[in-house]
Amino acid sequence: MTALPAPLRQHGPGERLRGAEIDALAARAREGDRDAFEQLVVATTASCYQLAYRLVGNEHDARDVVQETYLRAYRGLKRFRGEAAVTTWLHRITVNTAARALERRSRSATATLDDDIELVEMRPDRLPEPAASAADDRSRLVAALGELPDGLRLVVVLRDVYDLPHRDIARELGISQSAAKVRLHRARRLLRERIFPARRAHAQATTGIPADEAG
Amino acid sequence: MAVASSRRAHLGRLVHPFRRVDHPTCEEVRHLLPEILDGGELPSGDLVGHVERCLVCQAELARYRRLMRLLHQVRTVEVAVPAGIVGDVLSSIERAASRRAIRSVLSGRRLAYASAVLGAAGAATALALLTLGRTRDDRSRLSEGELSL
Ligand SMILES: [Zn+2]
Repeated sequence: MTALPAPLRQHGPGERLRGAEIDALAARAREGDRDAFEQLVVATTASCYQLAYRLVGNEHDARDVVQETYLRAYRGLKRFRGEAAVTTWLHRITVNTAARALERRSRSATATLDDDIELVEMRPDRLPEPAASAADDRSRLVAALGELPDGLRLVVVLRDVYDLPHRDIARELGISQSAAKVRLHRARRLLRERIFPARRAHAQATTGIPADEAG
Repeated sequence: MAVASSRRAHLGRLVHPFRRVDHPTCEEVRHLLPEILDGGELPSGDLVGHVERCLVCQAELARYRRLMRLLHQVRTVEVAVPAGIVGDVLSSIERAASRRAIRSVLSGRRLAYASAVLGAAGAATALALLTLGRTRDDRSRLSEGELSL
């Protein structure tokens, strides 16, 4: 994969020049340079799309999120002061836009993000059989992330995939830090159950005591 | 013992705000494990002691650690960026920019018209126009335009 700017983080050493160039484009765009804004879009769309896709879990919604993100960025560019890298700013807008899109999606399905979290359905049959290779495990995990309730997926992707601190997650999603943690722990439990189905895993790890009876 | 009870209190506060876990069962440990994977302070005392003695919970902890490693690797799983997405973004910005330009031209004309009217009329007429304007939609938009300049 090419060295795209790392979302939600300062640029790594190999990406510093690229990041500085992107920040320079943002500065020109802020002065009203339309070409610079277009180049900024070209340079950053892939990383915004990938983040959006991982948050919302499908191409259709991810495309909408990216379009709305750049519209908001275009309108808000004059207010961007350059304290953070412009990619960090764009990714924050992406997270916020994705959260709002998921909220709308769950409202139209007559449930809120939180209700959705309570109604977790276990569908291990929809995942492939457990496999030994790391690549297979990663694919199974990506599938399992896609099946998580939206409110849980948002938090676990931001925390465990993108390393965003709890404080920032809570702020971007407009929830308390403790609520964010509760969602994170639920998400991890569900993913663990889906990636390593309990009975089989325990049977391997113990001397034959079924997991549900142990302790 | 003072030390033990403070360790337990610490454990209770850290991993579960509402319930102290003095002698956790495997079930309780399994429930608490996802909360101690953040790389922060590890809970001390009974939980760690249990895991050290219990093969079932050690295996469970190993599974969670593997899950965390896999989650960190998700960013290396390629997400195909759909063709044409940059074009779509640029077109939608183009449309928004045109709408904004049209609005700005229109509000400029309204302002020019308003200043002409205000300039030609006396102060009393201007006051009357502004008062009337508050009762009409188009006039109230005009005064918003003036305020935003
Ligand atoms: Zn145990």
